[in-house]
Amino acid sequence: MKIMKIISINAALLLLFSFNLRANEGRVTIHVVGEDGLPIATAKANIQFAVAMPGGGLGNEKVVNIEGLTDTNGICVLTGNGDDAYVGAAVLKDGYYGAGGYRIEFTNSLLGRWQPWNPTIEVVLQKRGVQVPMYTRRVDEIKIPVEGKPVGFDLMAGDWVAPYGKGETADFLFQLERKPEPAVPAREIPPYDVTLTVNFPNAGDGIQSIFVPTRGGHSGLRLPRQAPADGYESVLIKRESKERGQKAYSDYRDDQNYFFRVRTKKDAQGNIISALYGKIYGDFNHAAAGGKLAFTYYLNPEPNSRNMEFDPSRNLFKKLPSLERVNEP
Amino acid sequence: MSKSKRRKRLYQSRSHAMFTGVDWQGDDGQIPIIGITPDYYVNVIHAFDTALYFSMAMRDLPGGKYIAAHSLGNMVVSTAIADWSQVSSESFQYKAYFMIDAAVAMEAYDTSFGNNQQLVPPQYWPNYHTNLWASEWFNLFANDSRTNLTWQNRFGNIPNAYNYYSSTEDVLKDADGQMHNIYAQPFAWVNQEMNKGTWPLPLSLIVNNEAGWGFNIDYSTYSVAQANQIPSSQLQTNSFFESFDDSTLYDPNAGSAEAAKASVREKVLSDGIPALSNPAGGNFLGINFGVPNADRNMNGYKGLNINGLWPRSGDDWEHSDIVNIAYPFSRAVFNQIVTDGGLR
Repeated sequence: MKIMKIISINAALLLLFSFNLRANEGRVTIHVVGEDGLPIATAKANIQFAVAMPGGGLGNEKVVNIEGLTDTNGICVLTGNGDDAYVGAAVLKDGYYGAGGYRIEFTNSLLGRWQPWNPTIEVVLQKRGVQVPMYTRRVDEIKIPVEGKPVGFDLMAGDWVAPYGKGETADFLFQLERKPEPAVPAREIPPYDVTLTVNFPNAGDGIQSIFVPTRGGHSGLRLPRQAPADGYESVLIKRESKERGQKAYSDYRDDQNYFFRVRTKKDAQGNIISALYGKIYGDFNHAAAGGKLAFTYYLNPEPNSRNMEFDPSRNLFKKLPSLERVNEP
Repeated sequence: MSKSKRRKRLYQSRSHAMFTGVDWQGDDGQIPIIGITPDYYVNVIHAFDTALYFSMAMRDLPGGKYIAAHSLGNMVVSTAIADWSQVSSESFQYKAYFMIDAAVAMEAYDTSFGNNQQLVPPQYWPNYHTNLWASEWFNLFANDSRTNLTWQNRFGNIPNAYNYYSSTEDVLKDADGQMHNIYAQPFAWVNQEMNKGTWPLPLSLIVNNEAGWGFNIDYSTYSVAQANQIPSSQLQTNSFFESFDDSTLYDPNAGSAEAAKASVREKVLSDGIPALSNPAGGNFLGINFGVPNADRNMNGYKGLNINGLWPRSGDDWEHSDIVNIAYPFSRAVFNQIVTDGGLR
């Protein structure tokens, strides 16, 4: 049996200078409305304070939840105590997508109270629509079987098309191009220039970007409910490069997401008579540099339906490995 | 970080590797009860000093070795790999190195990340030429050991490394060009870089002030324009920034030999030379660092709080969440570590 050792360093970083000698009181007002701007009552609002606990290294931390319900004006005022100068906030309500990721950073404390005292977080809840089953998968760094020429990927099979996999229909055509890397001294990071091109086999197929901030308040449904009817580009190029001693260049963005349209069929007049719509959460991963592919996609199998509300309990892929499962709607 | 907790979590993620925990002194000067460690820099020195002993331990362990380090522990391991792994008497091999929440400046691995102006204290220093800065003092020399008094390329590219970072760090949050509350957790790492040489009371009673972003009173009468005209030859012997504690470094004859001493370099780097790059534990190091595509943003391995998949309502993956957050929420990261290492 292969003997392996994991050497683990007991970190102990020093959270240095990050101490507060006692907790301060903080107050936050959460104002919840629907997409129509009308207040939502009885929504469960939650804020969290972090309370430092004794322990090795950085010490430990206990998260303290403070919860309440919004009144008929959609208002909930929450008060608690915490050591760290921030609170996180989230709101839940049956029939709506939750909203979370809100964060208030206090600037200072005054007489035992975090300042600003009682700031307001504005929250808009989205109503849940018709959540449907989809082919949804986090492609976890699968090897691109060949470089320098297009390779088809079947979204319903979740695999490359033959002869590289069990897929039958090419939805995306991925092509990886990589310039030769010059030799550099051992401790230096080698320069690189890698391009991943995404093409489509059918006229009318395509992809379009949509940007959503990765931090801050957000709805449980990351992208709009409906994929756009038009605006799809027939090619997407993602490039990363770095010259020796220079800063890296990258097309990849943390806030990147996409809608796409595949399997498009048109009539003689060029009108779309059938197509499948889907979305990609996040960007195509930097894995291309290692000759691999990683991205998270959702494909609605119902022709011409632009509904992008996925029911996580009805993924059409069964028994996915844990790293490939998707839980976001 | 609890070693037993990490071992159990790796096992739960189907690692069949044997596990050896390593402790080192990273909490020197810690205040009892409240568990905080005001003098960060002395622990950076300990990290450098521990590297040799870590290398010796690695050398003597049998079998294939996979290293995981957390936070400032990465200073220990990166030093061991860069300084000792190729030294014949202490050489060791390892198959993978998992950098988790690395509290190490990015420029230590790749110089192209240096010169980030967001880490320059905004009140005065942007007005002065960079050759007056402590971070650039090494550039005043050539063919001299003082050229090593910089974080740039301190470790260089680390073979077989994976960078497990979080884009939503708090302790390792990126600099934004502003000074931040030195008593708050967010920006703690950036704070220690941007306050080098300038710690105010009462912290200056505990933390050593040398070089960094302090000013040398010898030049207190100089205008900005006059300061920017100071010749390099003068700066070599009398820096514009607050002087180093070790005045031998300014000696034209003995300075190079002094800087060549490991103990001198470690101390100067820890408390006197500011990094001009953000911490690796909060950032993407680039696709050719370590193994190709070695960066793993842990924030991308978690679900959303509102879907019941992350306990923090702010939805951030913060420092040490790899152990502070319960395994059911964080297991995807452990699964990825086990996958990357082939530890099943």
